[in-house]
Amino acid sequence: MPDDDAVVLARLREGDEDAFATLIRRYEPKLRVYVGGIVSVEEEARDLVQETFIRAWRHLDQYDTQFRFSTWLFRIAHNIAIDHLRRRRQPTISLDLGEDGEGEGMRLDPADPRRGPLGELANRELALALAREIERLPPSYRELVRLRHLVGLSYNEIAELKELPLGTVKNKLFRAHSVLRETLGHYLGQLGGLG
Amino acid sequence: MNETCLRARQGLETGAAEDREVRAHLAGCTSCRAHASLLEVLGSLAPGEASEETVTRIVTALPPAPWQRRRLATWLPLAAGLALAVIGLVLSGGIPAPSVMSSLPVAAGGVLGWIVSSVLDTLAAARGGTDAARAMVTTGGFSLLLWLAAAAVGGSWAVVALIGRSRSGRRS
Repeated sequence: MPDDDAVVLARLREGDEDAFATLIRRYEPKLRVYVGGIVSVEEEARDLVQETFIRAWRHLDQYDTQFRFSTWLFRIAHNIAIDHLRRRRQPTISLDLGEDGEGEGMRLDPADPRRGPLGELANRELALALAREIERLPPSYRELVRLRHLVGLSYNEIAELKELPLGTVKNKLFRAHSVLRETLGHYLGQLGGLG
Repeated sequence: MNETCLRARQGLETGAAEDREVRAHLAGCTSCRAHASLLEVLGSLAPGEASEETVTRIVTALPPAPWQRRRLATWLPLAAGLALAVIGLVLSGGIPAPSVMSSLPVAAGGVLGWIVSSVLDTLAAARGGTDAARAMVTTGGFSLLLWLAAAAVGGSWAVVALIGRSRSGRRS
């Protein structure tokens, strides 16, 4: 667990209810991208993330501190999103917490670059190319790239959430980056590196 | 990709972009510069913090916290018990005036005596039938019965709440 989360949770246990707002501020955007990747509808993702925080708040005394708080929170979000999909009777997609990482994955719509983290990129051409190339990655790489760069989780958080060894997460991401570097070489060459 | 490129890229992956050796390598290696650019672009995609509007919306939707409910479950039976004791005092002749505070021990003895005699009256009424029951009502014995029932409910509630609290305390 990041030290920050441990401090905030300690404050919360001492009765400082404002501490929960810190956790909302920190995790709401990440959860919205994560849940949005499962349910594909922004408004629904917003409501489901709110439901995630309410459920976490209700069951805070059941949180096991041997895991990261973010892992616990993302698992709650995952369950809520999957339940929501079942209620909607639509096929489930991607961001499976299992080992294989197979699946359709987060829907990045290159035709609508206003949505999601890629919509924040000023270089529209690069945003579209990046979305396209991420979609083309092998599923197990694609999954990790999304969690790392679009949801914004750390290597350690991904390892715990996906129940993978940290070394595996690092290796797969390194290989995924290498693939993306090759396929996006033209765009990246124009950027010129780290200044 | 040679060994130097591999080391430089691994350095970039672990956040060592500012490392002198890495920077020196990047200056002369187009491929590694592309790797650095990619990581820079990907690094800029991570979401930031939630807006205050979003935080307020979610905080407003939160129900009372579990510890708030436990606090209520502990204090409510105690408050109820206290209220019942006050009601008992009122039934037994009112709360003593400040002038008689010094004689409180005697008054307490009187209240105890009244409770005992009322209980005996009640038992006698239960044995003696309807007339005796009517007599009991007129002497306030019925009020005592109500009080005893309420105290039993309040007491049980307090015990259950305290047991529940100690269990949840052990869990956490």
